[in-house]
Amino acid sequence: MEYILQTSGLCKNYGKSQILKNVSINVPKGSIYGFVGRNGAGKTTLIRVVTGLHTPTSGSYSIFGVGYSDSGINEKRAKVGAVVETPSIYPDLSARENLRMVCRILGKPFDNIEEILKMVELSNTGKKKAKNFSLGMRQRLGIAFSLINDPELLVLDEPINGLDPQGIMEMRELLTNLNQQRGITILISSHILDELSKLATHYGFIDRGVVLKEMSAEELHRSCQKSARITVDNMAALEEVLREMNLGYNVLTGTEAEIYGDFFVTPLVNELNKRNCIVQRLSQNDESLESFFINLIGGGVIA
Amino acid sequence: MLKLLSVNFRRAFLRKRFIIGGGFPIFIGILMLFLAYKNNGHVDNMPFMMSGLLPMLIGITAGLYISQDYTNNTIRNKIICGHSRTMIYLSNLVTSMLGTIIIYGVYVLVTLGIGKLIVGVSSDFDMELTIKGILLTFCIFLTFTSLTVMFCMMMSGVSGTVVSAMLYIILGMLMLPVLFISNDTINEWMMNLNPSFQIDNVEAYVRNSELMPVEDYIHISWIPISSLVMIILSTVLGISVFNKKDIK
Repeated sequence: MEYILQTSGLCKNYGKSQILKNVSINVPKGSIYGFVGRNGAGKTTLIRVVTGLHTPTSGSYSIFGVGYSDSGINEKRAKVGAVVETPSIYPDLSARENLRMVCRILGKPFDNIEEILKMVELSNTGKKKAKNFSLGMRQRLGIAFSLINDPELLVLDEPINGLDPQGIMEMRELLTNLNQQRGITILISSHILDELSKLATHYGFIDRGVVLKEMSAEELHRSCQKSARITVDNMAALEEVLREMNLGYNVLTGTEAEIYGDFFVTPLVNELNKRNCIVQRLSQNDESLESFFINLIGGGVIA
Repeated sequence: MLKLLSVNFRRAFLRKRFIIGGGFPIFIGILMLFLAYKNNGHVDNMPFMMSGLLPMLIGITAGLYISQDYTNNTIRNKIICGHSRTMIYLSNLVTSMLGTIIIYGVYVLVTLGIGKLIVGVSSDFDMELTIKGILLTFCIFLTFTSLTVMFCMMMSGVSGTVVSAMLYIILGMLMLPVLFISNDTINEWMMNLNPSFQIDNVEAYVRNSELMPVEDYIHISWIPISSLVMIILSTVLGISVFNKKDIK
């Protein structure tokens, strides 16, 4: 698998407090990578480090395969668009003038300004200054900034914070389109897990500066979907029955398996009885992304 | 670098704030001409008067421009899209220095250029000496600008602007220990290397006459060299700190 962004043993200290502890993540090309963590977990710090705003205390990271201290890193950074916390806009300029300013920074012509304004639905803001924009409009303008350079990697820090439900929906549609139609890899941090679960294809879970787990959406889906844990004395018989009943399963040990999806218990037990397989224990497991995350961090409340 | 300069020039010079900042030396210059005209004076030393006020104006103008990049977080745009921090620093330095040249240039143009035509000069007026004095003052103001950029890029936010605006006074106050040092060599070095005192030294040098002779311990020739050294040192220090600085 090709990775656009990789970090390896990344550490970041502010004075004596260690904010990132040996963080290693891998963002696959073409993915929407959801970076999940509570407030203060280290999400924004990691984003600041990989966007070059902060320097790591130790460890390393690479963008498009180029190390952060290598000579070619600035060229690779030109392929990255980012919105870190609040969008970095020029408050006294209109949306169009803001984008022109960014074009000048990048040395780009003004060709695609109208297209991008249309894409983020800011084309009819006229001469209205950015300081008078709503939070949602500012967020969209921030994303427009990051799109000017036709990026291959988009890094978004909490982009749906403060948006109303319609704004969240529009943002979701925009990001999905960018990922699917333009093939842009997106790293998106959030603590709003429900929203993230509608977007992300890969996840990284962080807590107290430590990356607890990285997994694909499929793996997470398997972990979170309605499942039952069954303990039997004959695993071969169980597998045969589950295949016949077209049920997804995962063998955990020689006697234990997890069965996914909805099913009736009696027919399953009857079929196992016919094969002289005794069901020793059966318990239902219904985990959401939130409960999965809470279990992962060992309890607590998501801020 | 050219891309950054293009953005800086637009952000710095094509705005109301700079036009007002640039208008201030015109206003001061015209006011001084008016006073000189009313009192039958002349414009001989006018380019060197108000020399303590101009570093403050330069500090405020350059400081506000740089600190605004921090407060709006727009400095992030430059870093994220791959401009090197050294180039960002140097582009801010070049922009601020150009601003300084414009501000002092306008002041000189009003006081000496227009003033010579309207108010006139005295019979003792020495054009060559005055131009030499103006060039030396440019050197000193560029040193102030370099220090302003260093403080603003290192401190980020309004605190850098405040320090820059007060730089002339702060550097002047550094001379307080001199009062307690009876070593002539140290005093001489301090008097000649401190930009705040260099401004007064230039004025004394241009005014040099039998009535007000320039003191022996004032070395005008030190100014270009010390300015160059201070600009290089402050730039190297500023860049090295900015390169390691965490940007919010």
